[in-house]
Amino acid sequence: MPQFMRSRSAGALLTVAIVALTLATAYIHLNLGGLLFTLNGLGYLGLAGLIVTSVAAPLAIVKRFAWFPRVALIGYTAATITGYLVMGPYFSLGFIAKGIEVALVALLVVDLVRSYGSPLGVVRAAVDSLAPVLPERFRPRAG
Amino acid sequence: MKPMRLTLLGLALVTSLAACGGGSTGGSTTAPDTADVALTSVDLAFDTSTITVPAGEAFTLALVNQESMQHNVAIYTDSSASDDLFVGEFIGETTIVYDIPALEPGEYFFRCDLHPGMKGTLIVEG
Repeated sequence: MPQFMRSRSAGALLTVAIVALTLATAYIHLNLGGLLFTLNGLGYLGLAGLIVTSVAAPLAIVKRFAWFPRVALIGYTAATITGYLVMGPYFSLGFIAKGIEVALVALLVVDLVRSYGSPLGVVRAAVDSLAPVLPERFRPRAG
Repeated sequence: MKPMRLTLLGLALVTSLAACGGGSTGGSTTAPDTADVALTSVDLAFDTSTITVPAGEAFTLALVNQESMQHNVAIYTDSSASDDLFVGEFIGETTIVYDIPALEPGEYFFRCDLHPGMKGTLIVEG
Protein backbone atom coordinates (compact mmCIF):
# COMPACT_ATOMS: atom_id res chain seq x y z
CA MET A 1 0.00 0.00 0.00
CA PRO A 2 1.43 3.47 -0.91
CA GLN A 3 2.80 5.48 2.01
CA PHE A 4 0.21 8.24 1.49
CA MET A 5 -2.63 5.75 1.99
CA ARG A 6 -1.33 5.00 5.48
CA SER A 7 -1.52 8.66 6.52
CA ARG A 8 -4.31 10.10 8.65
CA SER A 9 -5.03 12.64 5.90
CA ALA A 10 -5.80 9.79 3.51
CA GLY A 11 -8.11 8.32 6.14
CA ALA A 12 -9.85 11.66 6.51
CA LEU A 13 -10.30 12.03 2.76
CA LEU A 14 -11.62 8.48 2.47
CA THR A 15 -14.14 9.09 5.25
CA VAL A 16 -15.37 12.30 3.64
CA ALA A 17 -15.72 10.58 0.26
CA ILE A 18 -17.55 7.62 1.84
CA VAL A 19 -20.00 9.88 3.67
CA ALA A 20 -20.51 12.00 0.52
CA LEU A 21 -21.33 8.95 -1.61
CA THR A 22 -23.59 7.54 1.12
CA LEU A 23 -25.51 10.82 1.35
CA ALA A 24 -25.73 10.98 -2.45
CA THR A 25 -27.37 7.57 -2.78
CA ALA A 26 -29.57 8.31 0.27
CA TYR A 27 -30.72 11.52 -1.42
CA ILE A 28 -31.54 9.68 -4.66
CA HIS A 29 -33.51 6.97 -2.84
CA LEU A 30 -35.40 9.42 -0.62
CA ASN A 31 -36.50 11.33 -3.72
CA LEU A 32 -37.78 8.25 -5.55
CA GLY A 33 -40.83 8.03 -3.30
CA GLY A 34 -42.56 4.91 -2.06
CA LEU A 35 -41.99 3.00 1.18
CA LEU A 36 -39.20 0.72 -0.03
CA PHE A 37 -37.04 3.51 -1.42
CA THR A 38 -37.71 5.76 1.57
CA LEU A 39 -36.66 3.03 4.01
CA ASN A 40 -33.60 2.34 1.87
CA GLY A 41 -32.66 6.02 1.91
CA LEU A 42 -33.17 6.24 5.68
CA GLY A 43 -30.94 3.19 6.10
CA TYR A 44 -28.17 4.95 4.21
CA LEU A 45 -28.64 8.07 6.35
CA GLY A 46 -28.39 6.00 9.52
CA LEU A 47 -25.24 4.27 8.33
CA ALA A 48 -23.70 7.61 7.31
CA GLY A 49 -24.39 8.76 10.87
CA LEU A 50 -22.67 5.66 12.24
CA ILE A 51 -19.63 6.25 10.01
CA VAL A 52 -19.35 9.84 11.26
CA THR A 53 -19.79 8.69 14.86
CA SER A 54 -17.11 6.01 14.46
CA VAL A 55 -14.65 8.69 13.36
CA ALA A 56 -15.66 11.62 15.55
CA ALA A 57 -16.73 10.14 18.90
CA PRO A 58 -13.76 9.90 21.29
CA LEU A 59 -15.08 6.85 23.14
CA ALA A 60 -13.15 3.62 23.55
CA ILE A 61 -16.16 1.46 22.75
CA VAL A 62 -16.78 3.39 19.52
CA LYS A 63 -13.15 2.94 18.48
CA ARG A 64 -13.38 -0.78 19.31
CA PHE A 65 -16.37 -1.21 16.99
CA ALA A 66 -15.09 1.14 14.26
CA TRP A 67 -15.10 -1.77 11.83
CA PHE A 68 -18.85 -2.30 12.22
CA PRO A 69 -20.33 0.72 10.35
CA ARG A 70 -18.05 0.08 7.38
CA VAL A 71 -18.83 -3.63 7.20
CA ALA A 72 -22.55 -2.94 7.69
CA LEU A 73 -22.49 -0.31 4.93
CA ILE A 74 -20.75 -2.73 2.54
CA GLY A 75 -23.42 -5.38 3.26
CA TYR A 76 -26.28 -2.89 2.98
CA THR A 77 -24.97 -1.45 -0.29
CA ALA A 78 -24.33 -4.89 -1.75
CA ALA A 79 -27.90 -5.91 -0.84
CA THR A 80 -29.24 -2.74 -2.48
CA ILE A 81 -27.26 -3.39 -5.67
CA THR A 82 -28.40 -7.02 -5.75
CA GLY A 83 -32.02 -5.98 -5.18
CA TYR A 84 -31.79 -3.54 -8.07
CA LEU A 85 -30.27 -6.11 -10.41
CA VAL A 86 -33.08 -8.53 -9.57
CA MET A 87 -36.03 -6.13 -9.56
CA GLY A 88 -35.00 -3.15 -11.68
CA PRO A 89 -36.32 -0.94 -13.17
CA TYR A 90 -33.36 -0.10 -15.35
CA PHE A 91 -33.24 3.61 -16.11
CA SER A 92 -30.68 6.40 -16.03
CA LEU A 93 -31.11 7.49 -12.41
CA GLY A 94 -30.99 3.85 -11.32
CA PHE A 95 -27.69 3.35 -13.13
CA ILE A 96 -26.29 6.55 -11.60
CA ALA A 97 -27.27 5.34 -8.11
CA LYS A 98 -25.67 1.94 -8.72
CA GLY A 99 -22.50 3.59 -10.02
CA ILE A 100 -22.31 5.61 -6.80
CA GLU A 101 -22.89 2.46 -4.75
CA VAL A 102 -20.19 0.45 -6.54
CA ALA A 103 -17.74 3.30 -5.92
CA LEU A 104 -18.90 3.41 -2.29
CA VAL A 105 -18.20 -0.30 -1.79
CA ALA A 106 -14.76 0.09 -3.40
CA LEU A 107 -13.86 3.00 -1.08
CA LEU A 108 -15.12 1.11 1.97
CA VAL A 109 -12.96 -1.89 1.06
CA VAL A 110 -9.93 0.38 0.60
CA ASP A 111 -10.67 2.05 3.96
CA LEU A 112 -10.97 -1.29 5.75
CA VAL A 113 -7.77 -2.64 4.24
CA ARG A 114 -6.02 0.65 5.09
CA SER A 115 -7.21 0.44 8.69
CA TYR A 116 -6.89 -3.28 9.37
CA GLY A 117 -4.30 -4.46 6.85
CA SER A 118 -6.36 -7.20 5.21
CA PRO A 119 -9.81 -8.85 5.23
CA LEU A 120 -8.45 -11.23 7.88
CA GLY A 121 -7.42 -8.21 9.93
CA VAL A 122 -11.04 -6.99 9.85
CA VAL A 123 -12.25 -10.39 11.04
CA ARG A 124 -9.64 -10.36 13.79
CA ALA A 125 -10.70 -6.85 14.89
CA ALA A 126 -14.33 -7.93 14.91
CA VAL A 127 -13.61 -11.02 17.01
CA ASP A 128 -11.43 -8.99 19.39
CA SER A 129 -14.11 -6.34 19.86
CA LEU A 130 -16.74 -8.99 20.54
CA ALA A 131 -14.50 -11.08 22.80
CA PRO A 132 -15.86 -9.73 26.11
CA VAL A 133 -19.37 -10.91 25.24
CA LEU A 134 -18.39 -14.20 23.60
CA PRO A 135 -18.58 -17.48 25.56
CA GLU A 136 -15.21 -18.49 27.02
CA ARG A 137 -14.45 -21.18 24.43
CA PHE A 138 -14.89 -18.73 21.51
CA ARG A 139 -12.64 -16.01 22.93
CA PRO A 140 -9.31 -15.51 21.16
CA ARG A 141 -6.39 -16.71 23.26
CA ALA A 142 -3.73 -14.22 24.22
CA GLY A 143 -0.27 -14.71 22.70
CA MET B 1 -4.68 21.10 9.46
CA LYS B 2 -5.07 18.03 11.63
CA PRO B 3 -6.72 15.00 9.99
CA MET B 4 -9.58 14.97 12.50
CA ARG B 5 -10.36 18.61 11.80
CA LEU B 6 -10.02 17.93 8.07
CA THR B 7 -12.49 15.05 8.38
CA LEU B 8 -15.02 17.09 10.35
CA LEU B 9 -14.66 20.07 7.99
CA GLY B 10 -15.17 17.81 4.99
CA LEU B 11 -18.17 16.14 6.58
CA ALA B 12 -19.72 19.53 7.36
CA LEU B 13 -19.19 20.57 3.72
CA VAL B 14 -20.74 17.35 2.42
CA THR B 15 -23.75 17.73 4.74
CA SER B 16 -24.24 21.34 3.66
CA LEU B 17 -24.13 20.40 -0.01
CA ALA B 18 -26.62 17.58 0.58
CA ALA B 19 -29.00 19.99 2.31
CA CYS B 20 -28.84 22.32 -0.70
CA GLY B 21 -30.32 19.67 -3.00
CA GLY B 22 -33.94 19.38 -4.03
CA GLY B 23 -36.20 21.27 -6.38
CA SER B 24 -38.06 20.03 -9.41
CA THR B 25 -37.19 19.47 -13.01
CA GLY B 26 -39.84 21.97 -14.08
CA GLY B 27 -41.60 21.72 -17.43
CA SER B 28 -45.28 21.48 -18.27
CA THR B 29 -47.52 19.58 -15.88
CA THR B 30 -50.74 19.79 -17.87
CA ALA B 31 -52.00 17.26 -20.38
CA PRO B 32 -51.42 18.29 -24.01
CA ASP B 33 -54.54 18.40 -26.18
CA THR B 34 -52.86 16.30 -28.84
CA ALA B 35 -52.71 13.08 -26.81
CA ASP B 36 -55.47 10.47 -27.25
CA VAL B 37 -55.50 9.58 -23.54
CA ALA B 38 -53.81 11.01 -20.48
CA LEU B 39 -52.67 9.91 -17.04
CA THR B 40 -51.77 12.29 -14.25
CA SER B 41 -49.62 11.24 -11.31
CA VAL B 42 -50.34 12.86 -7.96
CA ASP B 43 -49.49 11.59 -4.46
CA LEU B 44 -47.98 8.37 -5.80
CA ALA B 45 -51.13 7.43 -7.71
CA PHE B 46 -52.53 7.80 -11.22
CA ASP B 47 -55.68 9.89 -11.47
CA THR B 48 -57.52 7.08 -13.23
CA SER B 49 -57.33 3.32 -13.01
CA THR B 50 -58.89 2.59 -16.40
CA ILE B 51 -57.95 3.79 -19.87
CA THR B 52 -59.91 2.80 -22.96
CA VAL B 53 -58.51 2.96 -26.50
CA PRO B 54 -59.65 1.52 -29.87
CA ALA B 55 -58.09 -1.71 -31.14
CA GLY B 56 -55.79 -1.88 -34.12
CA GLU B 57 -54.73 1.77 -33.99
CA ALA B 58 -51.57 3.26 -32.63
CA PHE B 59 -52.34 5.89 -29.98
CA THR B 60 -50.68 8.53 -27.89
CA LEU B 61 -50.70 8.56 -24.10
CA ALA B 62 -49.72 11.65 -22.15
CA LEU B 63 -48.17 11.17 -18.72
CA VAL B 64 -48.52 14.33 -16.67
CA ASN B 65 -46.20 13.99 -13.71
CA GLN B 66 -47.11 16.53 -11.06
CA GLU B 67 -44.56 15.18 -8.58
CA SER B 68 -40.83 15.70 -8.27
CA MET B 69 -40.24 11.95 -8.11
CA GLN B 70 -39.74 10.03 -11.33
CA HIS B 71 -42.53 8.04 -12.99
CA ASN B 72 -43.21 6.19 -16.23
CA VAL B 73 -46.01 4.16 -17.79
CA ALA B 74 -45.42 0.59 -18.86
CA ILE B 75 -48.01 -1.72 -20.40
CA TYR B 76 -47.97 -5.47 -19.76
CA THR B 77 -50.09 -8.37 -20.94
CA ASP B 78 -51.30 -8.99 -17.37
CA SER B 79 -50.70 -8.01 -13.75
CA SER B 80 -47.75 -10.38 -13.40
CA ALA B 81 -45.89 -7.70 -15.37
CA SER B 82 -43.67 -10.33 -16.92
CA ASP B 83 -44.40 -9.61 -20.60
CA ASP B 84 -44.12 -5.97 -21.49
CA LEU B 85 -45.82 -4.52 -24.57
CA PHE B 86 -44.57 -1.00 -24.05
CA VAL B 87 -42.17 0.56 -21.54
CA GLY B 88 -42.19 4.34 -21.36
CA GLU B 89 -39.27 6.59 -20.49
CA PHE B 90 -39.04 7.85 -16.90
CA ILE B 91 -39.68 11.55 -16.34
CA GLY B 92 -39.53 13.98 -13.44
CA GLU B 93 -42.02 16.78 -12.87
CA THR B 94 -43.04 17.36 -16.47
CA THR B 95 -45.19 15.86 -19.23
CA ILE B 96 -44.33 13.30 -21.87
CA VAL B 97 -46.40 11.93 -24.71
CA TYR B 98 -45.75 8.28 -25.48
CA ASP B 99 -46.42 6.81 -28.93
CA ILE B 100 -47.87 3.38 -28.28
CA PRO B 101 -48.25 0.80 -31.06
CA ALA B 102 -51.61 -0.74 -31.97
CA LEU B 103 -52.84 -3.48 -29.64
CA GLU B 104 -55.20 -6.38 -30.08
CA PRO B 105 -58.61 -6.14 -28.36
CA GLY B 106 -58.47 -7.13 -24.72
CA GLU B 107 -57.55 -5.98 -21.24
CA TYR B 108 -53.99 -5.10 -20.38
CA PHE B 109 -52.17 -4.00 -17.24
CA PHE B 110 -50.34 -0.72 -16.87
CA ARG B 111 -48.20 0.62 -14.06
CA CYS B 112 -45.31 2.84 -13.10
CA ASP B 113 -42.28 0.53 -12.99
CA LEU B 114 -40.75 2.45 -10.09
CA HIS B 115 -43.92 2.49 -7.97
CA PRO B 116 -45.88 -0.72 -8.69
CA GLY B 117 -48.74 0.57 -6.53
CA MET B 118 -49.48 3.03 -9.34
CA LYS B 119 -51.40 0.74 -11.67
CA GLY B 120 -54.53 0.30 -13.75
CA THR B 121 -56.23 -1.45 -16.63
CA LEU B 122 -55.90 -0.57 -20.28
CA ILE B 123 -59.00 -1.67 -22.19
CA VAL B 124 -58.53 -2.08 -25.93
CA GLU B 125 -61.96 -2.21 -27.56
CA GLY B 126 -62.45 -4.06 -30.81
